[in-house]
Amino acid sequence: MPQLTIDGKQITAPVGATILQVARENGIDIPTFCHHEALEPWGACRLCIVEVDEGSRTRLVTSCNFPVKEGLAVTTKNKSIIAIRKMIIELLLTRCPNAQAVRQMADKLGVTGTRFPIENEFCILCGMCVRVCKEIVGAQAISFASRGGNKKVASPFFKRSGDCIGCGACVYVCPTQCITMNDVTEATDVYAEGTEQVGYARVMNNWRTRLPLKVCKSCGNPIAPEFQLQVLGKKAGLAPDALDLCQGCKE
Amino acid sequence: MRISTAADLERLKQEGHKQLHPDTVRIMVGTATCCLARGAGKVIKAIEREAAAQKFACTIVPVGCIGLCHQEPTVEVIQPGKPRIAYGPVTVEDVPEFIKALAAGGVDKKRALFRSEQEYSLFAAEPYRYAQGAVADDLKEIPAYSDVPFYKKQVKICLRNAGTINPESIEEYIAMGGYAALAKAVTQMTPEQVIHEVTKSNLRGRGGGGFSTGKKWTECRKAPGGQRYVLCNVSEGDPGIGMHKSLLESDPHTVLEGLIIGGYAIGAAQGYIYISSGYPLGLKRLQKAIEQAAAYGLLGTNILGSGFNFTVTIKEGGGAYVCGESTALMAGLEGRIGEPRPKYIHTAVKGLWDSPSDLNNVETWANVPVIIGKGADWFSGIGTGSSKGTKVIGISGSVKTPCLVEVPMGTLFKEIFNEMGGGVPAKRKLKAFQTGGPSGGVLPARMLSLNLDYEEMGKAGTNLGSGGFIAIDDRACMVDIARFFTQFLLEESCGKCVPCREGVKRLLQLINNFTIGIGTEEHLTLIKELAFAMEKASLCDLGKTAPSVVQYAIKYFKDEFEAHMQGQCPAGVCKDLILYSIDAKLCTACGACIRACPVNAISGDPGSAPTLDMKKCIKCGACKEVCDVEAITT
Amino acid sequence: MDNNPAMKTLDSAVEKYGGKKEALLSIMHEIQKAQGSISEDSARYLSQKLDIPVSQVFSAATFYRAFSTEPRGKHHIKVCTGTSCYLRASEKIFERIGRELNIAGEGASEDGEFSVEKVRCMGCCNAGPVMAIDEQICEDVSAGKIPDLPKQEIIGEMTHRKATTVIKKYREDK
Repeated sequence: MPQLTIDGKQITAPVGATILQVARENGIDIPTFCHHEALEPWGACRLCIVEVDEGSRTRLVTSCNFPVKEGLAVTTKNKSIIAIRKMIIELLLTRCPNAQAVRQMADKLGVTGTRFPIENEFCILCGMCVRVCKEIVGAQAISFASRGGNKKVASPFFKRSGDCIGCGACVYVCPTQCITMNDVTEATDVYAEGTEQVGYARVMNNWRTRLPLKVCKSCGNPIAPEFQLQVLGKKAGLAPDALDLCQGCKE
Repeated sequence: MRISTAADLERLKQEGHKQLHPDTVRIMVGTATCCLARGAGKVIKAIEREAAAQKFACTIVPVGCIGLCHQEPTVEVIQPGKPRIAYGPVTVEDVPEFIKALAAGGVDKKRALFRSEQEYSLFAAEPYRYAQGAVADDLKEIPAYSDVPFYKKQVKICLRNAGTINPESIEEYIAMGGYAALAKAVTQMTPEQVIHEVTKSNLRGRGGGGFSTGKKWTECRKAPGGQRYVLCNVSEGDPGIGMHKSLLESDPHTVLEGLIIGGYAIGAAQGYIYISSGYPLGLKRLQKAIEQAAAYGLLGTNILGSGFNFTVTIKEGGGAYVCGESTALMAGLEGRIGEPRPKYIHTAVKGLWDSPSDLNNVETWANVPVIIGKGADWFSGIGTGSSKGTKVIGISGSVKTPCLVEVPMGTLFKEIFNEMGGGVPAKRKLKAFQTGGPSGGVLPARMLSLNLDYEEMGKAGTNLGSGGFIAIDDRACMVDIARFFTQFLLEESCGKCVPCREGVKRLLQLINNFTIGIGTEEHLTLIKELAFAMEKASLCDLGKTAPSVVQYAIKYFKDEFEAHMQGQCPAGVCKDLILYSIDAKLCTACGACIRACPVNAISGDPGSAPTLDMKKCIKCGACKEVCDVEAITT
Repeated sequence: MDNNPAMKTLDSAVEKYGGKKEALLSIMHEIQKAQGSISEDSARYLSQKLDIPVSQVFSAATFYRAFSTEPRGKHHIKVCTGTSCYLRASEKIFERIGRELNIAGEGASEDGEFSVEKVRCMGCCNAGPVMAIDEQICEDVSAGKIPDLPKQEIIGEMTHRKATTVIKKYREDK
């Protein structure tokens, strides 16, 4: 098991671990914005930057995806690192001045305002929603669209996503809470000829997707999106009627 | 027919030789994209038509680019027993007269550029002589190839066959010594010996990074894993270069041969060529080259009886500058969007589909057959202490004679610019030059004394990039140049990491402050602070080098930024800071500007200087463009 | 198999690459060339054929410049904005084309006759500024040459005359 130091502290780390994992396990705080333990490291927010000394050379790396090595000396805070983190959060604060998580992080890093003309976005493009949908849910209902200054997260062609199962994992992981979903009791379809009531539905607001909710055969209460139950049932190899009852009625 | 032994290759070489030096007149027309843009396609048709009409027996062959872009369309002619003569420009209108002169067994002296007594060949023990004996008197007035200043300092390795062979003929490539290096590698050398030779040659990446090719190969060969890949990048889309394209269009086989040798050395059975979508002709010629090589068994199984198997697949890129970044390119090859990932584990160890992968630039690969064929010592005899061999340079921008050259490392930019590019056009002054594209730098004219060397250029704050040299004259505004490159990067950034995506956006805003005249010293300080974070914290080299051009523009052309702070654009480029006016003293009242103005902002009576309505003027510059006496001022 | 001709193009493109998922970009190139864009229908059909999520096709179609999700005009004009051409005022050429054809920025004219886009280096730096109409390269263009009918200069496969006639005729028809 590799021996290394983080901020001078001697640490023995498990093989294959990242600097961030090891630091956090040892009570050393490194700020992150695009990292989630359940997801593969992404290395996009760059807040977790640290300095590593490998003997032959010293360089700045992102701790979330840098594997620990024998003899590594890691510094999580110095003048450069602090200046870089401050600039990064200032850039994010410029993009999302009203996102609570960004403001909290700015506070924590001692940045009170931005010197650039502000925008009013809420999404910081950390990509957690896209990644959770791919890596954990396996649906790949959403993706990045465009690139550079126009990059955004979107459902295909900015329309209803046929792959979204309405699980809400994206809502759950979003650090700035800019993804929302809600269940409605009386969804309405609008046609040229008139409207039609379709009953319970889950609405994924950002993905322009509405999924009818399956109701419990016994008590009539909504369980979950029908499509979600279909997909999960198929994956788990359950009988078609295995998910007909809500948790309460099953017991 | 399959080439299974070195003897087979030799036989084919003889056949190719006959094709290269036929008994009839061989007329070679340059047909790279640049030549075609200048009408080479029509010229070929005209020559065919005229030759038939005049019953003149000749072989018309499309060849690659000889680099003399300003003389295009260029045509070279070999009349049996006479020196090879280059002509240019030969336009469609010139063809009847041109063919008449040739049909009479003579020379079209009006259009002759230079003559060559012998073939340019790196591999022939004794170069092929077009003509025996002394030069005929009537040809003496045509300059000899060796005396043409344009070619004097050039050494052609990658472009050795460009303009001589038909790029769509493998036989002609073989006749020039092609695939002999491959035969040598797979039949006489172990993979380790091949790598040793490349390492010894000190060949460094021609894509701009300058990393040792031999070291990269060694790391990839030694990396654990079964399947491994060799990759060729033809997609580094620096805006303002055409070298890759020209190389591929002129001699696709040298790239292919290099890649096959690399595959053998590294132990890869599969190669990929990632080619930008903007190169349709290069793509077509490369495809043909692969088909031909496969037909002769130079690709496929048991190549030259060595037991080595190798295939090559072409992948068309989607047009993304960021795909010059190795990890982004590999993502593109896998069919995903070109987002880079960190390279804490090198791609040589874990690259394409997580397998060991060696990626080199197209020009790097083109050098490989020569290194193996002529030996590392020969190669490293060219160049400087740490930069060996040659570099293909595309010279464009404000130069008299835009061109494509291949010069030894260590050549001074001054020589390249003045002797090959012909210096600045009349009435203009060179202000700066740009190398390395958006990730390079802009350097002031006085720094033309720099030489072509990885280290020296790095110290000066730029890099070789893929070899574009763009001359910038006094008509350009350096603030605008900084804006241009930053805008480019904003569009080309993949948008994954914060410092690059958000940083470039803010950088552009800061520069725009100057173009509209509200920039301040504080803005310059903020640019510096922002640039520091971008350079240190961006995920890939695109972001890390994104502030480079801006910073060097500020460093070397601070006076222009200061002028913009005062609301002045000295070059008259930044629209918000200029007003057009008509100088009545200079005006000849020709009325051209009145006709040119798309919004009818200029009016006047014949005989007197027109007036310009500022309310209507959209500052498009159409009037200035047509004014012969420069009476429109800003 | 689908009988819709647009989808047939798709089928043959998929077939050409053996239906391999990693050939997504190559297949998309074929579609882009044949149909001028990657439409939503094509993307959805392709996702089914290759068994990949449509989000992946959409993501690639919007990431790479070679693809467009909006349909292109019957005649597609590319204006090179590489450094060399930019220094020779290619931006003005782009603006002028937009003004002549009534297209704001990049995109297609209302009637779908023309579309215009800025491209990176076309590799003809020495002949710049260059533009291309339907893949035919015109060299040494200038903003002033766009609406006017210049002399019968024959340039490459394309003449200024031809290029500008197309545009001028279009304006007259309007």
